[in-house]
Amino acid sequence: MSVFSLIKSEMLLVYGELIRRKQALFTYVAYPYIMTFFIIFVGSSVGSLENFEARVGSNPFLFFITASFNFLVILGIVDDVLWSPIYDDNIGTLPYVLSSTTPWFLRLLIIPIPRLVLTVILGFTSLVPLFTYLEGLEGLLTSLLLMGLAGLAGLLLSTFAILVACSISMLMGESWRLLNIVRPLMMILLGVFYPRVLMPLAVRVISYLLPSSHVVDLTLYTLVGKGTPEVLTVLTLLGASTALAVAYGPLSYSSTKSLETKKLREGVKT
Amino acid sequence: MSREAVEVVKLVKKYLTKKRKGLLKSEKLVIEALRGISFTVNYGEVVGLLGPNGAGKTTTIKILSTLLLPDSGEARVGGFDVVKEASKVRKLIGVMLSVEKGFYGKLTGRENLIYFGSLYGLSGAELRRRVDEMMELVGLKELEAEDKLYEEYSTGMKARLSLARALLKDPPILLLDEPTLGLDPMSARKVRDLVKLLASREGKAVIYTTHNMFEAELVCDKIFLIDKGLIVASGSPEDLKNKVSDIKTVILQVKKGTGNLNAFLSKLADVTVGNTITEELDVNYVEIRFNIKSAEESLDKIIKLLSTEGLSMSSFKVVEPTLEDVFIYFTGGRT
Repeated sequence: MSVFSLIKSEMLLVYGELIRRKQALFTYVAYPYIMTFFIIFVGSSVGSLENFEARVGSNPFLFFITASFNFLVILGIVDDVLWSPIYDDNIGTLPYVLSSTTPWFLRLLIIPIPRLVLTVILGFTSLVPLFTYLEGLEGLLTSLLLMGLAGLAGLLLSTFAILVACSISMLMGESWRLLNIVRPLMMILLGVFYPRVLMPLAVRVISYLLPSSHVVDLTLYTLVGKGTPEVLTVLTLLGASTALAVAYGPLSYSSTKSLETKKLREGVKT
Repeated sequence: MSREAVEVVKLVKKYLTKKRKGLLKSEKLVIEALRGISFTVNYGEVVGLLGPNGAGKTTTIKILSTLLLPDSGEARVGGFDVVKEASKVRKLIGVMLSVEKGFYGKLTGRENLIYFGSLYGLSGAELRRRVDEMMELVGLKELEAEDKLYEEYSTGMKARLSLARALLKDPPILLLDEPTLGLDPMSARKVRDLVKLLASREGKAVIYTTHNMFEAELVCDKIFLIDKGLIVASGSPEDLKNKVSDIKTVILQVKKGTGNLNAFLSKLADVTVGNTITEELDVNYVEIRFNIKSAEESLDKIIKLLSTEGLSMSSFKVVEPTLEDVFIYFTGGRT
């Protein structure tokens, strides 16, 4: 079995569906701008842009387009992994996926890669133009660094997302409604829009357990400190993130196996 | 390679379901889908699993394709246990579970096959070659449908694509669950011809479930009649018909409104074997089909009964039983 061939075919599926649904593609490109302008529009009614910049230390447009972009990247991973078993079950592809020679866990790991690549590339239509326009060459370099960090944050979230998807499916059954609960929770817990230091202690503890939240933190440091976080901070945050992602690996593998066994015991819907 | 491709021994499967009793209450129900069936399938053979709805055909196919765990018993595919050696079994089987579903709508037929081909372990030039060959084999190239989106496919095209996927990795064992359901006669014939060819020429073992007796007679070398989770009869289509050779099928047409049809039907039960099927042919005539034993004695009784109940008969035929009659005889006429 060739992992490269699996990734290529997964790309065929994701890009085929996306390119042939023009509205979805348009939404992807427009999403960071829509979120940014919406937040700034609402924020301006209770405060001023200057006040935000003085308190946070970052241009609000750059801050929120980065946050929206990060959220889009992370949302892509969560949606892909959580949605995949439900979608396959609904359209009748699940029996063929499960009876194939590719282990389900491997497929779940591969599923988000094409969308992750796509969403990170979409940084060229959101982060790069705005950063370059407002901050010139330095802005261009910062935006490229932020794109890389967003990609890393997304990648490190995979094992956790698989674990969550399998646990929810086992405990509560499969429903697209669950996505509507998980999405806003992720938005808060990852600290994308709301920095972790401002969270209540209990929420902050949960946030620390999410691999990507540390990379998001690093993004905020970069953004607020203009690309100059200390080396130790960088290493600590990246190390914590990677260690958590690795730690979730065996757990997500065993939860995938348990979910598969549960499905086989009940009988896969045909 | 052993001649036995599939071996099923005393396979049992029970499902737990809930019977709803109003909004809040429900009662747990145990449904015995399989009650200890045993059979074998050899390479080069097309074996039909026939039975009414809920008989256990699809459950058997699901267990053999490693998509359902049995409660007890044993099933071996290509010599491997379907529970303990599922990954080895998966390398040997091609599965077709539904004609209408199971593909991605926004991908073309070719792209869908490429996608599933890579899940089945194929890659690169070999994958492209197999996809091309299968498109040709199932006739999708001929229909110029290979680069059409799946969501634009007709049911016949979907069935062909489904068969192409089952054959993609050239498996020695095929598990086909009602592969011609809902197909037009031409597409159904194409699927049947292909299945026969694959078994006879390439030596594949095929398990084929169907409701269609005509089709079973055409395609299958051996048939297992399943009812309520048990095999009630087995053999070649000819063997099965011979099992009921002492039985004759009577097809009777009577004019409506000429006597007491209900009384006739209730008294007829004394001379028939198995169920009686009544079908309205048009506004004027009703066809009654039933099986009888000891023809001479029974026919006398039937003629007398017709006259007693004042029914006007327009046609009366006594024929050798078909496979459908065998099915009705063994399953009590349930569909």
